[in-house]
Amino acid sequence: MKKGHLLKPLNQSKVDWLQAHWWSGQPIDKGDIPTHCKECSLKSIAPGNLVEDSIVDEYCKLLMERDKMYYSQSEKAARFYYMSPWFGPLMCSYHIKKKNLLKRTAKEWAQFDTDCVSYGTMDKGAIKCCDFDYIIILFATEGHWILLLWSVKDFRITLFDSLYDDAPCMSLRELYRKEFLVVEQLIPIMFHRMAPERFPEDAIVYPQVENVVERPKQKNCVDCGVFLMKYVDCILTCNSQDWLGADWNEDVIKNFRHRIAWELHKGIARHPTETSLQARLAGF
Amino acid sequence: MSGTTTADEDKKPGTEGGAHINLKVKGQDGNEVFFRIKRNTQLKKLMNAYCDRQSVEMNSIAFLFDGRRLQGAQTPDELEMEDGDEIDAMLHQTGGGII
Repeated sequence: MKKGHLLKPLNQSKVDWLQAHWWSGQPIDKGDIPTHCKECSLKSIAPGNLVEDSIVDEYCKLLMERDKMYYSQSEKAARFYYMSPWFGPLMCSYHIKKKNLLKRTAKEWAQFDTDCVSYGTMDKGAIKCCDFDYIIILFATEGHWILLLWSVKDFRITLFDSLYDDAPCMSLRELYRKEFLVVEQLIPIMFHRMAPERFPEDAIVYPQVENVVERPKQKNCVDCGVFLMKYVDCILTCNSQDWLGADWNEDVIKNFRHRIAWELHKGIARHPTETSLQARLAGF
Repeated sequence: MSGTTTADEDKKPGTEGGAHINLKVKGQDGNEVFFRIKRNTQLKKLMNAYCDRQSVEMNSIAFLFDGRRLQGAQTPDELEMEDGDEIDAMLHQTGGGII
């Protein structure tokens, strides 16, 4: 399997290192703990465990670093903004408890704007999420990770859920009521507050979430965090939609966990393949 | 906002501005705790004090400033924090597929 291939297994010697240094049950040497991760976080990426937000956040940041390294100079490559996994809880805690989301006191607007700058911009407000082609938004919905991809260029929101589909007994809209409210209602308002000339109040568009029907799905109740991270990886590197039809079985997921752990340990995400590199640079 | 508490760290009478900074830590329940620390003091002191006051484990909270995770070894000076800046104290989240 070529270097950088999504499914390339991690060398056994590296797996052994992870087993010995991170997952043996013994205290982890401080020097072996990546920035922002805690000992308990590292254990959460071991096979069979629920994945913690620190791991998801750090790994997605590695993917975004890779993105910056390979594609930031290209004018054609799609540009992605990564929203921290704490954006969702913050918005749900403070900003969706309104009948009319556009009706707020000056103090409430000030707080909303501060949070928008904190989570929706980089370089203290200089780079805004609404200037990107896509925004990657992660939610931990009471024990389950989901990914929402907000396309700014065509005002569409896509849900990638590794577990659930729309069902007669419970629709995804009912299941993720708060999360949908954040992406469908608050983000367009956020765009308006960040760039009122481009997104005027009387012309705010509120798109509805569409869910991806065909995608790799989990078959247990512990791996959604791994699926989520690899969805992000594939969205950033796969020029075709082929990966959506893939079956990521238990062995694949186990290898993903090993690879994610190793990449976190090394502080660098896997290389994109030459094909995906060329495709992305050419305009995907 | 529910139940605002005020907590002073390193408070010394007559030392306004300069070496000290006032920071607000806001929890997910809206509760706010105010701290006054030296600009070159590591933030882990503030984090520990916050967790003690809230009776929560350090491992269960993520501290964020400007949407970015804070490290205990960082200082307000390093982060170019300004007087009155707010730190979000958010609960760690895990996920596997259970709802």
